[in-house]
Amino acid sequence: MMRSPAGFLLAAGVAGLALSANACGGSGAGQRNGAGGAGGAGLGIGQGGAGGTSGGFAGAAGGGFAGAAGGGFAGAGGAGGAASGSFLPAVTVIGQASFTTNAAPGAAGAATTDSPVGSAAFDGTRLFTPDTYTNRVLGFASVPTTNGASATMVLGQAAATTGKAGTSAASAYLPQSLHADGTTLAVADAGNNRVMLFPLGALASGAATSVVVGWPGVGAAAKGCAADRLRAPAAAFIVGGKLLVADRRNNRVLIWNKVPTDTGVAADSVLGQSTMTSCVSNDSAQNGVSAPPSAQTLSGPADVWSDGTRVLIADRGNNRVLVWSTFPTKSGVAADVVIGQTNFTLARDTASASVLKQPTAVAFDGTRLYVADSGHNRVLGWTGIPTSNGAAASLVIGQGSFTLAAANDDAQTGTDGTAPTARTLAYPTGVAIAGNALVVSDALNRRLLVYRPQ
Amino acid sequence: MRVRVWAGGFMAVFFAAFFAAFLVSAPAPAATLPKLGGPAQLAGTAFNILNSMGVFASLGIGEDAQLASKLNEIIDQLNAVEGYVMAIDNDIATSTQALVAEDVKGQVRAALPGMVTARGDILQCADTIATLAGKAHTDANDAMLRELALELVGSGTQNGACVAVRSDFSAIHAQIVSDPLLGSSTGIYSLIAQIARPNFPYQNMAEHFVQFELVQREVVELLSNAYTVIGDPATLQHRLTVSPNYLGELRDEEAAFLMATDTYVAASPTTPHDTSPGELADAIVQSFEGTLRQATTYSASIFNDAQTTLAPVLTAPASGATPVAMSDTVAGPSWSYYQKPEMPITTHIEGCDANTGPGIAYLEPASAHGGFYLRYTCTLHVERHLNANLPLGVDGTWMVTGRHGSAALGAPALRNAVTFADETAADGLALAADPAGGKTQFSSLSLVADTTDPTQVTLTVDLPGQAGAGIGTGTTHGLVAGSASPISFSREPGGPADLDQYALKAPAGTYLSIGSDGYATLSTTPSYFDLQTTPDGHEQLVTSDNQVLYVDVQHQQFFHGEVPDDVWANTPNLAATTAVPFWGVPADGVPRQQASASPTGQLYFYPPCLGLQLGEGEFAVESNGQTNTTCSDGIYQGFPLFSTFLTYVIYDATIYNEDTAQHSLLLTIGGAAVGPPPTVSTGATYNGIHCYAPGFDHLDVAGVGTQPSVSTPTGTGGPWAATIPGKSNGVNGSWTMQCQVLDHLAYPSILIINDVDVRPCRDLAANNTCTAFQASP
Repeated sequence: MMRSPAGFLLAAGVAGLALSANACGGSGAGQRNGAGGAGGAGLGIGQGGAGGTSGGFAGAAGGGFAGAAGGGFAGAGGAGGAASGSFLPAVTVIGQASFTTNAAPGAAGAATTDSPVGSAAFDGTRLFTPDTYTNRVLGFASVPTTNGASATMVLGQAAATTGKAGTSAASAYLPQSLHADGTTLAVADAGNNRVMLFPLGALASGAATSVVVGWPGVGAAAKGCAADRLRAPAAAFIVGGKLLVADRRNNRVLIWNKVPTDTGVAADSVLGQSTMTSCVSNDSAQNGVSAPPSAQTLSGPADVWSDGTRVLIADRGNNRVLVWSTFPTKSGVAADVVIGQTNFTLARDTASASVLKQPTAVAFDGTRLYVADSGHNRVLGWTGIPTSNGAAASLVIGQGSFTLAAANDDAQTGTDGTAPTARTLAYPTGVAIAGNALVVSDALNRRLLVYRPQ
Repeated sequence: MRVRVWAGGFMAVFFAAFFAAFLVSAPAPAATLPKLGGPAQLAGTAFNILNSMGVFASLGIGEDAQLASKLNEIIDQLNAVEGYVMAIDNDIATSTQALVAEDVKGQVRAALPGMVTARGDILQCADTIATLAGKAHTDANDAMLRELALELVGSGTQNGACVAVRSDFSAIHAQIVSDPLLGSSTGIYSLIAQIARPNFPYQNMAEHFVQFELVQREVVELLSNAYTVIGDPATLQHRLTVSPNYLGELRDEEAAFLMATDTYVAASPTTPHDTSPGELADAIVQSFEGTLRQATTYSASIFNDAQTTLAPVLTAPASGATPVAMSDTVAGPSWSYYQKPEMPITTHIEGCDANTGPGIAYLEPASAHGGFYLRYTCTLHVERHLNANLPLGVDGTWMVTGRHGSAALGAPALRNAVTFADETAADGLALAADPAGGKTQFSSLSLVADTTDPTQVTLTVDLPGQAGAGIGTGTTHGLVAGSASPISFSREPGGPADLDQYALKAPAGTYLSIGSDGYATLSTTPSYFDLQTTPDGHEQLVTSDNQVLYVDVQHQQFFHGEVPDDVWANTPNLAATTAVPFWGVPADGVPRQQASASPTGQLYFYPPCLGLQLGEGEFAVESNGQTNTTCSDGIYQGFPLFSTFLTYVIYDATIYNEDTAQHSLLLTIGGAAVGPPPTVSTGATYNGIHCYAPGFDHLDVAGVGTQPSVSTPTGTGGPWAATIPGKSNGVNGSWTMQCQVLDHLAYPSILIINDVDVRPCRDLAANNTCTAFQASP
């Protein structure tokens, strides 16, 4: 169905909307980001004409979320252009009963969530969402299509009605981003300074982790700066048999060349630092002193994505996303491209199509790159993974313009709104590709939003 | 010959060090470490220091943003100082001294741009060195690197890219000590001392420059190493002392800081600290050097009476305890720089003659020992030993042995670890917050989570001598470290946008917060702290207004008991009248022996050899029957303290009579001068010797002459008769003759009193004078 120029209907198009093939097959690149699947161009959101002023959300020529020719739903007018038209609305809300509420739940329940920090995970069928401040992960049998759906599974708690933090193999403390590769669900158990790995095959509520990364055993993990220690890991990603962990407070990304099958295995290499024992942010000289950012350094990395060749890291503290064009095989390799800044030494944060503020999540569906631009209360999209520094996004979700950045600003006045709507965001911290849906963790609104083609 | 190894290593170290001197806060390291040829020789501590500062990384990578960023940091620091100046405008708006303050502020502002100019030159030099260091080994390239090195120390032979750097360094130095006379009112320290107020702390304003000076001292050490590596150590002193005198500048900067601190303490309307400038200055330096316990000794002495460094030694009160030698952290290295004639500190010594030129004057004997006493001098030598990191066992009962003997350390002064404010022991180990809390080294806390409930945490800190001290409820203050019962807090996360912020909730439902007095307390209102990771892996808790929580591990300062010439720590101002006047010559405290035996032959009294240069001024003690003493130098006519024809040397000869009966004596005086020296061609005259004593008065020695027309003027006066009273009430009788040299004392000057004939008096007149003498025995 083609959407009208002024509307935001998602259309099932020829080129777009295709789930990556591996979305169902469980092979290939990660499902959350739907990368690299054969047979589909991946989830796409239409882009407006580059540089134009009339593209807006109704960008005519882009592939479109729905993939319809000329029917993208969110082409935002190109770089520097003010988006015209309305916001793209989500079609489903998870964690709240409606799009206009964001109240904290009085108690833990299967249909509520309290500030999901990080991206959800999709294993081809089930959707797993982080419920960070309830110290749990919720599982849904499928991507919900109705507002306020109840989860059918809970991890980190024995029941859906509890939310107490714990350190056992079946407990969690402030879990953040999730990722599933079809075989394993990885949970960044940030508060416990560990990553928990769960086999997806027999996963059930209250399951205990089979493997702990970042600590030689279960229990309260002592944070540390070593090859087998983590400090508030924000995300874990499995690709091609490798495990990548955004070790946020150690200002690095650790890489295991083989997904650990035993607890406490040391990482093989590191990005953002040159050695396994250096953990200071932007420590170019590796002397324990912070410096301006560089192509080799990180500051509070919040997410990592890879298709087995390219590696992208949401370098939250430096207001940028770094791109490695080839998979690093040793420690301390410099990034090739920076997104969100015009060079590797800047860390600006004024909202525009090419500047990010505290990007917290990154996902690629094979066609479009999505970045949760948390500090600007929006999600930005690029067609393809940029190969030059400072590339302008072509898509914005959560705002009607690349230069507006207030939370829940449905009126687009530039000031924070008082209540959420279906098209506003408040500090989005996660982006995930779930079949034909884009799932955004709308953290401060205590919900996840599902965007679907129509 | 390939000298690349030296060139790379030396240049890297030198430039890194030199460059580091311009960094006053955490530097911004660049991407890679340079290749340092021969760093093993240079390296050691020096390398590690600079490596830890991130400055090596500035080499070998060419001109880039990081390098510029580093240089910008010093500018930022200077701007911070300027910010203080600007902010103080309102503070002084109502002051009656507003006009003066405006002038001072203007001077501070005027001093800042010069440093910006220096920045450009330094950047150009850095770029050139980086480029050259990256080129292939060639003799030409190596030679150029060596030339650039020489230019950095002001000894280059070409007009290379670094030729201006040394002068730029001096330009910055000139902002700190802008007048060769210490005590100038226009140096940065002095200026900020005048405008600082409690709400614009002097120490905060001065710290940028103090750190600058501290790093410079490291630079000197590195230079020394570098010259040793290239087999050129003999030239080091020359390189460092040729104009502009690097070492002299360092010494002057330190002295200027101490002097300005004196000004600040004396002039501050509401002194935030005690009245000892020395203590405050120490506390500031102490903080920068991360010193928690220290002992300081000061001594002020004249001229060059103490040429060797004498680091104080600490000794435990227990019998037979082994003294603990304490290495200096400030004054020791600086001491060797004081090798040129001292600078007059005229504004700080009351009674200094209006003539501000160098000079020495003597007074008549004022004590029973007679001899020579210094009345005053315009030349003051300050020796300051700051001995850091005292062992924990040291307390006030320990003895410190310094230049002037031993004394008990005494009770320490306790100061807040950040603010330097005086405190009591009850304030110790309190948990507090301050923007500069991170400097204490005790802001690096651990959040120890419960093994089963990670939301429950206790706070601990590693204190000196004890690791992992818990933080619990205090008595004087709300929370203190070392409590036997650490508080178990429940941490409440700040939310998705503030992933590292937590409120810490105590069991009673109250929250960790910061009170208006800066100390931690428990409040019903939650306060969120940003948990920042420290380089050593601990947590640092930072408030929303950037105050860093720290444990007040107080600075402890010991000052040993003072002796009269240890004036600095005793008095609030160098100008204290009682502090200056009396020093012995030499100031070793050893009284000179007097000639008390009945002479059997000639008595020779030698005046002191007074010199104006280092190593001169030895004292020729009285002797009996000795030959003439030859002085290496004398007092030149060109350096009179007083007008012509006034006496400037008076000396005396005292003969004691140990008999109860009086004795008469008959003596003659011979005067002689040997010379002149080849360098004296005109003007040195020798017009006579006048002697005064009971029994005769104003008698001149005959036969004196004038140099150089008379090469060996000599003459004899007398004979004169005199009477020595007898011993009475256990006190020896004595007869003292005072003699003075008129006009200008020639080179060298020797006064000889000869033919002294002591004979019993045969006819004693009614007026107690001898009218006839017995024959000589």
